[in-house]
Amino acid sequence: MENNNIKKALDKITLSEENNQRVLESILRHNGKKGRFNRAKLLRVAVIAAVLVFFIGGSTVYAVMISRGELIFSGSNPKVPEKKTDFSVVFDDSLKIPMSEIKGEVNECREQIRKQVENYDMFSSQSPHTVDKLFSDYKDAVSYVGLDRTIIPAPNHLTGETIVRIEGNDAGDLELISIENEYYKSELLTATAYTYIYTDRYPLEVSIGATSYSDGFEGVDFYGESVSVEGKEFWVVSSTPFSDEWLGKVVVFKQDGIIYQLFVRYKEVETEKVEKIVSEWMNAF
Amino acid sequence: MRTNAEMTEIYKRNQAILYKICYLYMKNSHDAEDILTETFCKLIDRAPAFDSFEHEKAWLIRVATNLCKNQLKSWWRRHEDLEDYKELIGTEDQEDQYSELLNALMCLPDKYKTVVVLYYYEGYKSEEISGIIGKPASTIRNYLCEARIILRKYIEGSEYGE
Repeated sequence: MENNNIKKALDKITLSEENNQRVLESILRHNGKKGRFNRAKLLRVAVIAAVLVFFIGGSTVYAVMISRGELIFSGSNPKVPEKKTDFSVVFDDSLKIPMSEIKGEVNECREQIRKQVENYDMFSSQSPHTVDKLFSDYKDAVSYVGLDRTIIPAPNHLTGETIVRIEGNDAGDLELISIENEYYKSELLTATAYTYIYTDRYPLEVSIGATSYSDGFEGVDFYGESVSVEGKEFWVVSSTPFSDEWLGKVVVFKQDGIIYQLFVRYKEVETEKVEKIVSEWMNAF
Repeated sequence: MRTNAEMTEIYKRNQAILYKICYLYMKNSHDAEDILTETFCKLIDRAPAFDSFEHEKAWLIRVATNLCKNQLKSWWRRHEDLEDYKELIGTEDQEDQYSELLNALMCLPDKYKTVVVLYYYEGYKSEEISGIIGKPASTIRNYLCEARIILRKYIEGSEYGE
Protein backbone atom coordinates (compact mmCIF):
# COMPACT_ATOMS: atom_id res chain seq x y z
CA MET A 1 0.00 0.00 0.00
CA GLU A 2 1.73 3.14 -1.18
CA ASN A 3 1.66 6.25 0.96
CA ASN A 4 0.57 8.19 -2.09
CA ASN A 5 -2.61 6.11 -2.32
CA ILE A 6 -3.71 7.20 1.13
CA LYS A 7 -3.08 10.81 0.13
CA LYS A 8 -5.14 10.34 -3.02
CA ALA A 9 -7.95 8.75 -1.02
CA LEU A 10 -7.92 11.69 1.39
CA ASP A 11 -7.98 14.04 -1.60
CA LYS A 12 -11.55 12.92 -2.15
CA ILE A 13 -12.52 14.75 1.03
CA THR A 14 -12.83 18.34 -0.09
CA LEU A 15 -15.12 21.22 0.67
CA SER A 16 -16.83 22.53 -2.45
CA GLU A 17 -16.01 26.11 -3.39
CA GLU A 18 -19.57 27.15 -2.60
CA ASN A 19 -19.58 25.51 0.83
CA ASN A 20 -16.06 26.75 1.54
CA GLN A 21 -17.25 30.31 0.96
CA ARG A 22 -20.34 29.76 3.09
CA VAL A 23 -18.28 28.43 6.01
CA LEU A 24 -15.81 31.31 5.76
CA GLU A 25 -18.62 33.87 5.63
CA SER A 26 -20.22 32.27 8.69
CA ILE A 27 -16.90 32.52 10.55
CA LEU A 28 -16.42 36.14 9.55
CA ARG A 29 -19.97 36.96 10.65
CA HIS A 30 -19.11 35.49 14.05
CA ASN A 31 -15.92 37.53 14.10
CA GLY A 32 -17.95 40.65 13.51
CA LYS A 33 -20.68 40.04 16.01
CA LYS A 34 -18.78 39.39 19.21
CA GLY A 35 -20.79 40.96 21.97
CA ARG A 36 -23.96 40.84 19.93
CA PHE A 37 -26.10 39.94 22.90
CA ASN A 38 -24.62 42.71 25.03
CA ARG A 39 -25.94 45.13 22.47
CA ALA A 40 -29.16 43.20 22.28
CA LYS A 41 -29.70 43.61 26.00
CA LEU A 42 -29.90 47.35 25.55
CA LEU A 43 -32.49 46.99 22.85
CA ARG A 44 -34.44 44.11 24.28
CA VAL A 45 -38.13 44.43 23.81
CA ALA A 46 -40.54 41.89 25.11
CA VAL A 47 -41.92 40.79 21.79
CA ILE A 48 -44.18 37.88 22.51
CA ALA A 49 -44.75 35.41 19.70
CA ALA A 50 -44.14 37.94 16.98
CA VAL A 51 -43.33 35.99 13.87
CA LEU A 52 -40.69 37.46 11.61
CA VAL A 53 -39.89 36.21 8.16
CA PHE A 54 -36.74 37.32 6.45
CA PHE A 55 -34.24 36.06 3.93
CA ILE A 56 -30.53 35.40 4.31
CA GLY A 57 -28.40 34.24 1.40
CA GLY A 58 -31.28 32.63 -0.41
CA SER A 59 -32.40 30.54 2.56
CA THR A 60 -35.53 31.33 4.43
CA VAL A 61 -35.33 31.92 8.15
CA TYR A 62 -38.37 32.07 10.34
CA ALA A 63 -37.98 33.35 13.85
CA VAL A 64 -40.46 33.29 16.66
CA MET A 65 -39.24 35.94 19.03
CA ILE A 66 -40.04 35.66 22.65
CA SER A 67 -38.66 37.76 25.43
CA ARG A 68 -35.06 36.70 26.11
CA GLY A 69 -35.12 33.96 23.53
CA GLU A 70 -35.66 33.23 19.87
CA LEU A 71 -36.94 30.10 18.20
CA ILE A 72 -35.32 30.10 14.78
CA PHE A 73 -36.05 27.85 11.84
CA SER A 74 -33.70 27.84 8.91
CA GLY A 75 -32.93 25.84 5.80
CA SER A 76 -29.38 24.61 5.28
CA ASN A 77 -30.10 22.36 2.31
CA PRO A 78 -28.90 24.47 -0.64
CA LYS A 79 -30.99 22.42 -3.06
CA VAL A 80 -34.20 23.11 -1.14
CA PRO A 81 -33.52 26.36 0.72
CA GLU A 82 -37.15 26.83 1.65
CA LYS A 83 -37.12 23.58 3.62
CA LYS A 84 -36.81 24.33 7.34
CA THR A 85 -34.31 21.59 8.12
CA ASP A 86 -32.78 23.31 11.16
CA PHE A 87 -34.09 24.83 14.33
CA SER A 88 -32.51 26.45 17.31
CA VAL A 89 -33.70 28.19 20.41
CA VAL A 90 -31.18 30.93 21.08
CA PHE A 91 -30.97 32.52 24.50
CA ASP A 92 -29.12 35.59 25.63
CA ASP A 93 -26.39 35.83 28.25
CA SER A 94 -28.86 36.45 31.08
CA LEU A 95 -29.37 32.70 31.09
CA LYS A 96 -25.85 32.00 32.25
CA ILE A 97 -25.62 31.06 35.91
CA PRO A 98 -22.73 32.31 38.10
CA MET A 99 -20.45 29.33 38.73
CA SER A 100 -20.44 30.24 42.42
CA GLU A 101 -24.11 29.21 42.66
CA ILE A 102 -23.24 25.61 41.86
CA LYS A 103 -22.54 24.15 45.28
CA GLY A 104 -22.53 20.40 44.79
CA GLU A 105 -19.82 17.80 44.65
CA VAL A 106 -19.66 18.50 40.93
CA ASN A 107 -17.02 21.07 41.81
CA GLU A 108 -14.59 18.17 42.29
CA CYS A 109 -14.61 17.92 38.49
CA ARG A 110 -12.81 21.26 38.23
CA GLU A 111 -9.60 19.69 39.47
CA GLN A 112 -10.22 16.59 37.37
CA ILE A 113 -10.62 18.67 34.20
CA ARG A 114 -7.50 20.68 35.01
CA LYS A 115 -5.55 17.43 35.37
CA GLN A 116 -7.06 16.00 32.19
CA VAL A 117 -5.95 19.10 30.30
CA GLU A 118 -2.46 18.91 31.83
CA ASN A 119 -2.13 15.25 30.85
CA TYR A 120 -3.75 15.91 27.55
CA ASP A 121 -4.24 12.89 25.35
CA MET A 122 -6.08 13.77 22.20
CA PHE A 123 -6.32 10.12 21.23
CA SER A 124 -8.31 9.02 24.21
CA SER A 125 -12.02 8.64 23.63
CA GLN A 126 -12.66 11.31 26.25
CA SER A 127 -12.25 15.02 25.63
CA PRO A 128 -10.01 16.54 28.33
CA HIS A 129 -12.64 19.20 28.91
CA THR A 130 -15.40 16.71 29.68
CA VAL A 131 -16.27 14.47 32.60
CA ASP A 132 -19.19 12.03 32.57
CA LYS A 133 -20.76 10.74 35.78
CA LEU A 134 -23.38 8.01 36.01
CA PHE A 135 -26.12 7.88 38.60
CA SER A 136 -28.80 5.30 39.17
CA ASP A 137 -31.22 7.94 40.43
CA TYR A 138 -32.05 11.32 38.86
CA LYS A 139 -32.37 12.95 42.27
CA ASP A 140 -28.83 11.89 43.16
CA ALA A 141 -27.62 13.47 39.92
CA VAL A 142 -29.34 16.75 40.76
CA SER A 143 -27.92 16.68 44.30
CA TYR A 144 -24.46 16.07 42.86
CA VAL A 145 -24.74 19.25 40.80
CA GLY A 146 -26.04 21.17 43.79
CA LEU A 147 -28.06 23.92 42.16
CA ASP A 148 -31.02 23.97 44.52
CA ARG A 149 -33.55 25.45 42.13
CA THR A 150 -33.20 22.61 39.62
CA ILE A 151 -36.61 21.09 38.98
CA ILE A 152 -37.05 17.34 38.62
CA PRO A 153 -39.76 16.98 35.96
CA ALA A 154 -42.21 14.09 36.41
CA PRO A 155 -39.94 12.03 38.69
CA ASN A 156 -42.04 8.89 38.25
CA HIS A 157 -40.67 8.69 34.70
CA LEU A 158 -37.07 9.36 35.61
CA THR A 159 -36.28 5.86 36.70
CA GLY A 160 -33.41 4.79 34.46
CA GLU A 161 -29.72 5.55 34.56
CA THR A 162 -28.88 9.25 34.60
CA ILE A 163 -25.79 10.73 32.96
CA VAL A 164 -24.31 14.00 34.17
CA ARG A 165 -21.89 15.53 31.68
CA ILE A 166 -19.63 18.28 32.93
CA GLU A 167 -17.77 20.47 30.45
CA GLY A 168 -15.05 22.88 31.55
CA ASN A 169 -12.26 25.02 30.21
CA ASP A 170 -8.48 24.70 30.53
CA ALA A 171 -8.56 26.38 33.94
CA GLY A 172 -11.14 23.92 35.23
CA ASP A 173 -14.00 26.41 35.27
CA LEU A 174 -17.31 24.65 34.72
CA GLU A 175 -18.95 25.85 31.51
CA LEU A 176 -21.89 23.52 30.97
CA ILE A 177 -23.52 20.79 33.03
CA SER A 178 -26.11 18.58 31.40
CA ILE A 179 -28.24 15.90 33.01
CA GLU A 180 -29.70 13.26 30.73
CA ASN A 181 -32.22 10.58 31.52
CA GLU A 182 -34.22 8.07 29.51
CA TYR A 183 -37.67 9.40 30.24
CA TYR A 184 -39.81 6.86 28.47
CA LYS A 185 -39.12 3.94 26.18
CA SER A 186 -41.28 1.56 24.22
CA GLU A 187 -40.89 -0.12 20.86
CA LEU A 188 -42.34 2.81 18.93
CA LEU A 189 -41.58 5.70 21.25
CA THR A 190 -38.49 6.94 23.05
CA ALA A 191 -38.34 10.09 25.14
CA THR A 192 -35.21 11.52 26.73
CA ALA A 193 -35.19 14.33 29.29
CA TYR A 194 -32.34 16.81 29.54
CA THR A 195 -31.46 19.57 31.95
CA TYR A 196 -28.84 22.12 30.85
CA ILE A 197 -27.02 24.47 33.20
CA TYR A 198 -24.86 27.01 31.38
CA THR A 199 -22.51 28.92 33.63
CA ASP A 200 -21.15 32.42 33.29
CA ARG A 201 -17.91 30.83 32.06
CA TYR A 202 -19.58 29.42 28.95
CA PRO A 203 -17.95 31.40 26.11
CA LEU A 204 -20.50 31.00 23.33
CA GLU A 205 -24.13 31.80 22.68
CA VAL A 206 -26.52 29.56 24.55
CA SER A 207 -28.71 27.64 22.16
CA ILE A 208 -30.57 24.36 21.84
CA GLY A 209 -31.17 23.04 18.36
CA ALA A 210 -30.75 20.40 15.71
CA THR A 211 -30.47 19.86 12.01
CA SER A 212 -32.03 17.09 9.96
CA TYR A 213 -30.11 17.76 6.73
CA SER A 214 -27.07 15.91 5.51
CA ASP A 215 -25.71 15.34 2.01
CA GLY A 216 -27.19 11.88 2.00
CA PHE A 217 -30.62 13.02 3.19
CA GLU A 218 -32.43 16.16 2.15
CA GLY A 219 -33.76 16.65 5.66
CA VAL A 220 -37.20 17.02 7.11
CA ASP A 221 -39.11 20.16 7.98
CA PHE A 222 -39.17 21.39 11.53
CA TYR A 223 -42.08 23.52 12.62
CA GLY A 224 -43.22 24.80 15.96
CA GLU A 225 -44.25 27.62 18.18
CA SER A 226 -44.26 28.83 21.72
CA VAL A 227 -46.97 27.35 23.88
CA SER A 228 -48.21 28.82 27.14
CA VAL A 229 -49.17 26.40 29.88
CA GLU A 230 -50.44 27.98 33.07
CA GLY A 231 -48.59 31.16 32.21
CA LYS A 232 -45.32 29.41 31.44
CA GLU A 233 -43.83 29.49 27.96
CA PHE A 234 -42.54 26.37 26.25
CA TRP A 235 -41.00 26.04 22.80
CA VAL A 236 -42.48 23.03 21.03
CA VAL A 237 -40.83 21.89 17.78
CA SER A 238 -42.02 18.95 15.68
CA SER A 239 -40.68 17.31 12.57
CA THR A 240 -42.26 15.85 9.51
CA PRO A 241 -41.48 12.09 9.13
CA PHE A 242 -37.87 11.00 8.62
CA SER A 243 -37.06 8.42 5.94
CA ASP A 244 -37.62 5.67 8.50
CA GLU A 245 -41.08 7.15 9.17
CA TRP A 246 -40.16 8.11 12.71
CA LEU A 247 -41.20 11.55 13.85
CA GLY A 248 -39.38 13.91 16.18
CA LYS A 249 -40.61 16.34 18.78
CA VAL A 250 -38.55 18.60 21.01
CA VAL A 251 -39.91 20.67 23.88
CA VAL A 252 -37.72 23.33 25.47
CA PHE A 253 -38.41 25.26 28.65
CA LYS A 254 -36.31 27.61 30.73
CA GLN A 255 -36.81 28.61 34.30
CA ASP A 256 -34.51 30.36 36.74
CA GLY A 257 -31.68 30.22 34.23
CA ILE A 258 -31.92 26.46 33.69
CA ILE A 259 -32.94 24.92 30.36
CA TYR A 260 -35.05 21.78 30.30
CA GLN A 261 -35.62 19.73 27.18
CA LEU A 262 -37.68 16.70 26.28
CA PHE A 263 -36.67 14.92 23.06
CA VAL A 264 -39.13 12.41 21.66
CA ARG A 265 -38.86 10.06 18.68
CA TYR A 266 -41.94 8.08 17.77
CA LYS A 267 -44.03 6.43 15.11
CA GLU A 268 -47.25 8.16 14.13
CA VAL A 269 -49.37 5.50 15.77
CA GLU A 270 -48.05 6.72 19.13
CA THR A 271 -49.02 10.36 18.57
CA GLU A 272 -51.66 10.35 21.26
CA LYS A 273 -49.25 8.84 23.78
CA VAL A 274 -46.64 11.45 22.87
CA GLU A 275 -49.10 14.28 23.51
CA LYS A 276 -49.82 12.79 26.93
CA ILE A 277 -46.14 12.43 27.80
CA VAL A 278 -45.33 15.94 26.63
CA SER A 279 -48.28 17.40 28.51
CA GLU A 280 -47.30 15.57 31.68
CA TRP A 281 -43.71 16.82 31.37
CA MET A 282 -44.85 20.40 30.83
CA ASN A 283 -47.22 20.30 33.77
CA ALA A 284 -44.41 19.16 36.05
CA PHE A 285 -42.93 22.67 36.06
CA MET B 1 -9.48 40.30 18.35
CA ARG B 2 -8.33 39.40 14.86
CA THR B 3 -9.46 41.29 11.78
CA ASN B 4 -11.53 39.59 9.11
CA ALA B 5 -8.50 39.64 6.81
CA GLU B 6 -6.41 37.86 9.45
CA MET B 7 -9.16 35.32 10.09
CA THR B 8 -9.47 34.68 6.36
CA GLU B 9 -5.74 33.97 6.12
CA ILE B 10 -5.85 31.59 9.10
CA TYR B 11 -8.86 29.86 7.58
CA LYS B 12 -7.16 29.43 4.20
CA ARG B 13 -4.01 28.06 5.85
CA ASN B 14 -5.85 25.38 7.80
CA GLN B 15 -9.20 24.68 6.20
CA ALA B 16 -8.18 21.70 4.06
CA ILE B 17 -6.50 19.67 6.80
CA LEU B 18 -9.17 20.50 9.39
CA TYR B 19 -12.02 19.57 7.07
CA LYS B 20 -10.44 16.21 6.28
CA ILE B 21 -10.01 15.44 9.97
CA CYS B 22 -13.56 16.54 10.77
CA TYR B 23 -14.95 14.49 7.90
CA LEU B 24 -13.08 11.36 8.94
CA TYR B 25 -14.60 11.63 12.40
CA MET B 26 -18.11 12.74 11.49
CA LYS B 27 -18.49 10.83 8.22
CA ASN B 28 -20.78 13.46 6.73
CA SER B 29 -20.17 16.84 5.18
CA HIS B 30 -22.83 18.73 7.08
CA ASP B 31 -21.43 17.91 10.52
CA ALA B 32 -17.87 18.33 9.25
CA GLU B 33 -18.70 21.86 8.05
CA ASP B 34 -20.39 22.67 11.34
CA ILE B 35 -17.39 21.51 13.35
CA LEU B 36 -15.05 23.40 11.03
CA THR B 37 -17.07 26.55 11.63
CA GLU B 38 -17.25 25.98 15.38
CA THR B 39 -13.49 25.42 15.55
CA PHE B 40 -12.86 28.88 14.12
CA CYS B 41 -15.58 30.37 16.34
CA LYS B 42 -13.64 29.01 19.33
CA LEU B 43 -10.54 30.69 17.92
CA ILE B 44 -12.45 33.96 17.71
CA ASP B 45 -13.94 33.67 21.19
CA ARG B 46 -10.81 32.55 23.01
CA ALA B 47 -8.37 34.58 20.88
CA PRO B 48 -5.23 32.62 21.79
CA ALA B 49 -1.84 33.96 20.68
CA PHE B 50 0.36 31.66 18.61
CA ASP B 51 4.13 31.48 18.32
CA SER B 52 4.05 30.14 14.77
CA PHE B 53 1.82 28.73 12.05
CA GLU B 54 2.61 25.24 13.38
CA HIS B 55 1.44 26.25 16.84
CA GLU B 56 -1.71 27.71 15.29
CA LYS B 57 -2.36 24.51 13.33
CA ALA B 58 -1.76 22.30 16.37
CA TRP B 59 -4.27 24.35 18.43
CA LEU B 60 -6.91 24.19 15.71
CA ILE B 61 -6.43 20.45 15.22
CA ARG B 62 -6.82 19.80 18.94
CA VAL B 63 -9.98 21.91 19.15
CA ALA B 64 -11.51 20.35 16.03
CA THR B 65 -10.75 16.84 17.25
CA ASN B 66 -12.33 17.48 20.63
CA LEU B 67 -15.39 19.10 19.07
CA CYS B 68 -15.81 16.03 16.86
CA LYS B 69 -15.60 13.72 19.86
CA ASN B 70 -18.12 15.78 21.78
CA GLN B 71 -20.48 15.94 18.83
CA LEU B 72 -20.31 12.18 18.37
CA LYS B 73 -21.54 11.82 21.92
CA SER B 74 -24.30 14.41 21.60
CA TRP B 75 -27.96 13.57 21.92
CA TRP B 76 -28.97 14.21 18.35
CA ARG B 77 -26.09 12.22 16.92
CA ARG B 78 -26.96 9.25 19.08
CA HIS B 79 -30.47 9.24 17.69
CA GLU B 80 -29.80 9.71 14.00
CA ASP B 81 -27.71 8.00 11.36
CA LEU B 82 -26.23 10.96 9.50
CA GLU B 83 -23.39 9.29 7.61
CA ASP B 84 -23.20 10.34 3.99
CA TYR B 85 -19.61 9.50 3.11
CA LYS B 86 -20.76 6.76 0.74
CA GLU B 87 -21.52 9.62 -1.66
CA LEU B 88 -17.82 10.45 -1.76
CA ILE B 89 -17.04 6.86 -2.57
CA GLY B 90 -19.55 6.89 -5.39
CA THR B 91 -21.62 4.23 -7.05
CA GLU B 92 -20.28 0.76 -7.82
CA ASP B 93 -19.47 1.90 -11.36
CA GLN B 94 -17.43 4.83 -10.07
CA GLU B 95 -15.58 2.95 -7.35
CA ASP B 96 -11.81 2.72 -7.58
CA GLN B 97 -8.95 1.73 -5.29
CA TYR B 98 -9.02 5.16 -3.66
CA SER B 99 -12.72 4.82 -2.86
CA GLU B 100 -12.02 1.52 -1.17
CA LEU B 101 -9.13 3.05 0.74
CA LEU B 102 -11.25 6.02 1.77
CA ASN B 103 -13.86 3.61 3.06
CA ALA B 104 -11.13 1.90 5.08
CA LEU B 105 -9.94 5.24 6.46
CA MET B 106 -13.47 6.10 7.57
CA CYS B 107 -13.65 2.79 9.41
CA LEU B 108 -10.39 3.31 11.30
CA PRO B 109 -10.72 3.66 15.07
CA ASP B 110 -10.90 7.37 15.89
CA LYS B 111 -7.58 7.47 17.71
CA TYR B 112 -5.65 6.82 14.49
CA LYS B 113 -7.42 9.26 12.20
CA THR B 114 -5.66 12.54 12.96
CA VAL B 115 -2.22 10.91 12.96
CA VAL B 116 -2.91 9.30 9.60
CA VAL B 117 -4.00 12.61 8.06
CA LEU B 118 -0.97 14.45 9.44
CA TYR B 119 1.46 11.76 8.32
CA TYR B 120 0.10 10.78 4.94
CA TYR B 121 -1.59 13.96 3.79
CA GLU B 122 0.52 16.68 5.36
CA GLY B 123 3.75 14.71 5.16
CA TYR B 124 4.79 15.27 8.76
CA LYS B 125 7.32 12.95 10.39
CA SER B 126 6.35 11.16 13.55
CA GLU B 127 8.57 13.49 15.62
CA GLU B 128 6.77 16.50 14.14
CA ILE B 129 3.36 14.96 14.79
CA SER B 130 4.50 14.32 18.33
CA GLY B 131 5.17 18.05 18.71
CA ILE B 132 1.80 18.99 17.27
CA ILE B 133 -0.36 16.72 19.35
CA GLY B 134 1.71 16.22 22.46
CA LYS B 135 2.24 12.47 22.34
CA PRO B 136 5.59 10.65 22.35
CA ALA B 137 6.99 9.96 18.89
CA SER B 138 7.13 6.25 19.74
CA THR B 139 3.38 6.28 20.34
CA ILE B 140 2.81 8.03 17.04
CA ARG B 141 4.87 5.37 15.27
CA ASN B 142 2.86 2.65 16.98
CA TYR B 143 -0.39 4.29 15.93
CA LEU B 144 0.81 4.53 12.34
CA CYS B 145 1.92 0.92 12.35
CA GLU B 146 -1.38 -0.28 13.79
CA ALA B 147 -3.37 1.89 11.37
CA ARG B 148 -1.41 0.47 8.42
CA ILE B 149 -2.15 -3.08 9.56
CA ILE B 150 -5.87 -2.32 9.81
CA LEU B 151 -5.91 -0.59 6.42
CA ARG B 152 -3.96 -3.41 4.77
CA LYS B 153 -6.33 -6.04 6.16
CA TYR B 154 -9.28 -4.05 4.94
CA ILE B 155 -7.85 -3.56 1.46
CA GLU B 156 -6.75 -7.20 1.17
CA GLY B 157 -10.30 -8.23 1.93
CA SER B 158 -11.69 -6.07 -0.84
CA GLU B 159 -11.75 -6.77 -4.56
CA TYR B 160 -8.89 -4.32 -5.08
CA GLY B 161 -6.67 -6.18 -2.68
CA GLU B 162 -7.14 -9.57 -4.20
